Amino acid sequence: MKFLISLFFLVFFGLVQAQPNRILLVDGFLHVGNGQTIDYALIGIKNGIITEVGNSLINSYDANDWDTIIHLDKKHIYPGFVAANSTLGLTEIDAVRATRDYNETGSFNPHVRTQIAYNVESKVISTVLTNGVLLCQATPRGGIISGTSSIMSLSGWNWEDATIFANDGIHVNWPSSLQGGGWWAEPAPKKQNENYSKQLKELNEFFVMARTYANSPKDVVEYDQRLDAMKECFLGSKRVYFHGDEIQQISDIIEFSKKHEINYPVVIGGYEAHLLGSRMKDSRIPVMLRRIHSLPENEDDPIDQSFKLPYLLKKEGIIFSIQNAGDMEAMNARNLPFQAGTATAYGLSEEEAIEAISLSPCKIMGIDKKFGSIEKGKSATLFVSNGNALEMKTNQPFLILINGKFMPISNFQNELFRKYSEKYLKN
Amino acid sequence: MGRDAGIIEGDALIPDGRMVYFVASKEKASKVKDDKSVLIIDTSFNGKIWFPNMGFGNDSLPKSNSFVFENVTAWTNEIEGIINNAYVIIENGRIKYVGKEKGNYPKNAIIINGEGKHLTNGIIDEHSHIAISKGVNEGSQAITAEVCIADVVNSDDINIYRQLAGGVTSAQLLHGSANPIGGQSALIKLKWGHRPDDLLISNADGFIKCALGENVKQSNWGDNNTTRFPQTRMGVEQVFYDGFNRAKKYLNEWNNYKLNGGVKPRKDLELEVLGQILNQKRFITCHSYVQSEINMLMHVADSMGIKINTFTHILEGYKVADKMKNHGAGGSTFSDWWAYKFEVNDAIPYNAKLMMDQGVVVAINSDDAEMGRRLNQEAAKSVKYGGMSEIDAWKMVTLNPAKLLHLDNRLGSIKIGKDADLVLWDSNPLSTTSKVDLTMIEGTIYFERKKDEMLQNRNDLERARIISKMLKSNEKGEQTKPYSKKGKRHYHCNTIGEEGTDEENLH
Repeated sequence: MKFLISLFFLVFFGLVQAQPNRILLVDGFLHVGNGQTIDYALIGIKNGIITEVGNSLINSYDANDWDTIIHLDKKHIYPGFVAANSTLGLTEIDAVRATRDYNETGSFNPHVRTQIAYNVESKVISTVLTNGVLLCQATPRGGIISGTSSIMSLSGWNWEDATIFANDGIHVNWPSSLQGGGWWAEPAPKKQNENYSKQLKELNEFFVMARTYANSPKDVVEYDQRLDAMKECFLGSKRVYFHGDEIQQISDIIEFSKKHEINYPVVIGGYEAHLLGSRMKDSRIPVMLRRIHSLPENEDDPIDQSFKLPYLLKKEGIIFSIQNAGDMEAMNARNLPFQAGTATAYGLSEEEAIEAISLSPCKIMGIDKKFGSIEKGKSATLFVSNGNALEMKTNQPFLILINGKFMPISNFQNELFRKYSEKYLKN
Repeated sequence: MGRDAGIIEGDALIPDGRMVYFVASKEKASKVKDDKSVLIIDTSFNGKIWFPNMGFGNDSLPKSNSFVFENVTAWTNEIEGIINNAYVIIENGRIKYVGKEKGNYPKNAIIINGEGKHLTNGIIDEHSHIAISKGVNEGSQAITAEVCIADVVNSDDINIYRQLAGGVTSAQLLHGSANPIGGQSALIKLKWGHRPDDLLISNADGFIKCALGENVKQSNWGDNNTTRFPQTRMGVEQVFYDGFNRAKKYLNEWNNYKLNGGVKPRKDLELEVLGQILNQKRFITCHSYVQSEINMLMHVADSMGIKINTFTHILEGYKVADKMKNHGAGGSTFSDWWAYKFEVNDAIPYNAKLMMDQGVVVAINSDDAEMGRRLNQEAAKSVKYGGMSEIDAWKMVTLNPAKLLHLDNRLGSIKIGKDADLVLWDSNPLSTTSKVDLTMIEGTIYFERKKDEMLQNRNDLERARIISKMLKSNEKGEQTKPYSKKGKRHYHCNTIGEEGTDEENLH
C-alpha cells in the first residue's frame, strides 16, 4: 500500500491503521531540537529510525524509496517533548489513594522502581501526548531517597513495551536548610533547620555505605537490595538526581557529589542555582529547572523570577532543562510546551526553549544518542503542529510519531467534545 | 565551601545583598573576587513608609491622571471589536473616548504611544482566594452564610501586586468549599497601596459562595471525617432545602411581626443572609463539578423562585449547558484542569467553548494565586481547545466575568463612561509571550514594568540597609535574633485553616 499525502488531516487515521515504515516528511519547518532549524526540511524515516535529514531545495529524493510521502507545507516539526521528573503514568486521580503509585513508605528506597508501576494506558497520558509531550521520566516521590526513575514512552502495550531507558537514576530529596513552624492557623516564619547537619550526616552515611558496597568485590559483601540499586551511581552512568532549590542545598550538593565521586549528579529544582554562578558552571552539574509557571519563593523576589530562571542559568553558562513538577503535575504535563514558551518572553530564544524540553533533558538523563532531536540515526519520535507549539493558541499537533509509529491524535476529551457537540446539534 | 590547603573558597552573601564568589588564603585577609563597585550603605537613616509598607510598596499613594493612548490596538469587547490605530482618552477615572479620531486631549493628559501595543480591559478573576487574612473556610457547620470575606480583606498581600503585573484589576474573593454555604464574598479592585476598605467595589451586588460535591461531603478528608452531614450528594440537596425552608419561615415570622406585632422574632444572622438570597438581594456563585449536582441545584433554586447566578468550576457544565441556559445560570470554569479528584474525571478543556455555544455566559477563572497572574494565557487555551475566536476568548476573562458579577455596566469593555481599568500589553494579550507594560484602575497606574525594575533595586537596597544596620548593632553587642524567613500563604478552595498540604489543596 502506498500513501501520497498532502495536508488532509483525516487521512492520518488511515496511517494509524496502516503503520507504514518507510516515511518521508517533505517541506516542513524543522525545529531540530539542538538550536538549529531547517526550512523546507526533508526527513526520511525507515523502521522507526531517522535515516536522513536534509533540505528539499538542495537534496532530491526518489519517490520509489518511500511507501509514504507526506507534504507538510511549512508546518512546524518538533522532536517529542520530554516531561522529566513527573508522576505521569504513576497516578490517575490525585485525590484517590488507590490510584497513587509514586510514594513508597520509608526514607531510603533507592531500590523501588517506577518502571513497573507505569500505567501506559492512563487516561491522563492520552491527553498529554496530544500536546506534543511524547516521553516522560516516571519519577518517584517522598522520603530522603525516593527510588529509581525510568524514562518511558507515552505509548505502548505495557510498561516493558513503553520503556525507553530503565532505571536512569535515583532521586534524593535534599534536606531543606529552612524549617517551617507554628500551627495551621498561624504559620510561623521559616527558620534555620536545626537538624540540617544531622540529616546531612545521615545521608552521607548512606552514601558512604553505598560507595563502599559498590567498590567491594562481590564475594566480600553480602547482597543488599538498597545498596545494589546505588551501585551504578558510582561505577556506571546511573544519575543521582538531587532535588533542591535553596542556595545552601545546592552548594552542599556540589560538594557532596565531589566527595562521593558521583559520576552523573543532577540538580532538580534549582531556584537559586544561578546565584552560585561560575561554581555551578564549573561543577558541570546540570539543573532540571523547576516549573516556570510558579510564584516567586520570597515575597521580595522579582515578580517574574520564575519566568526568568532559564535565562539566568543560560547567562551563567549552567547546563539546564525545564521540567514541570508541582501541583497536579501529571495532568499539567500537557502544559510543558507553554512553560518553555513563557521563558521565551524572558530571555530564551524560541529554539533554546525547544531545546530545554527536548534535547537538554535527554542529554541530562543520558538518552540523547537516540532521543531529543531530529537528527540522522535517532528515533523518529516527533510531531508536527499547525503552528508554534510553544504558543497556547497554535499548539495543534496533527501528526505524532513515537519510534516511527503513528499515534492517534484523539483522546477521550476530544471524543467527549465531539459527543456533546453532536448532542446540541441534534437538539 | 571547598577547602584546599590553606585556602578557603566559596560563595558569600555580602551585606549589600549580592552573592560573590571568593577565594581567601588563611594568612591574609580574605579578598573578594568578582568585585564590582563597592556600595556604601548609610545605616543612619530610618526606612521610609511605603504603601503598603513592604517590598514593591508605592512611595506615595498613586494618583489618578488623564491619559491619551495613541495609535494603540484597542480590544473594545464591544461591537467595534478590535480597533487598530485607535485613540483612547481617559479623564476622571473613566473612559472618555475610544475610536479612530484624534479629537481633543484633556488638559495635562499623559500621552502614551501605543504603537505596536495592545490595550485591553483589566482582567476580572471571578474566583480568587488572594488578599484574604487567615483562612478561607469557616467550615464549622454546613451553612455559615453569616461570615463575610469583606471583613477580612488583606491589602498587604504581595499577590495583589503580582496579579496587577498579569493585567488583573478586579477579583471576587471567595470562601472555600468546605461546606455547602461558605459565606459572603468580597468584590475588590486591586488598588495596591490602599486600605482594605478602599479595595472593596462600592455599590456592587452581594454574592455568596455555595459548594457541592466532594469537598462538601468531605470525600478526601481521610477516614476520620465520615459523620458530618452531608456525606453524599443526596445529603447536599437536603441541606439546601433545609436552609432555604428555614429562611422562608424566618422571613415569614418577621413579616408577620411587622404586620401584626407580637413577640419580636429572634435575629438570626445566618437566616438573614439566606433570606437575602430568597429575596434576590444576594446572588449565588456555586462551586460545582458534575452534571447531577448542577442539575439538582437548579431544581432547588427553581422551587424557591430564585436563580443560580453562577456555577463556578463547573467542569461538567458542557453536559448540561442547555439546561443552564434555560435556567439562566452562568459558568465560570478552569481552562484545562482535571484529574485531581474523581469528580473532575470527565472534565474537558472544551468546556468553555461548549457552554458558550449554548448561550451560557462563560468566564475562565483562576482559583489560584499563580494562575491568577496568567489568566490571559488561560483564555488563550480556549482558542486551542475548540477553536474559539480570539475576541470571544478574551471576553472569558474580562467582559463575561463582569457580567457574572453584575458589574458590566461599569467594567469589562472599553466603552465611553466605563471605569478606566485598562492594561497595556506589549503584544497580543492572548500570546504566551505577551507582557504587561502598565495596568491602571480608574485612571490610576498601579503597575508599570519600568517602575517595577526600580522597585526591585529599591528592595535590594532596603535589604542591604537593614542587614547592615543589624550587623552594626550586632557589633555593638545589641540583642540579636536568629534568621527567619516569611512563609508563603496560598489558599485554594479546600484549604482548611492557613496553609494546606498538597493533598488538602483540592480546589
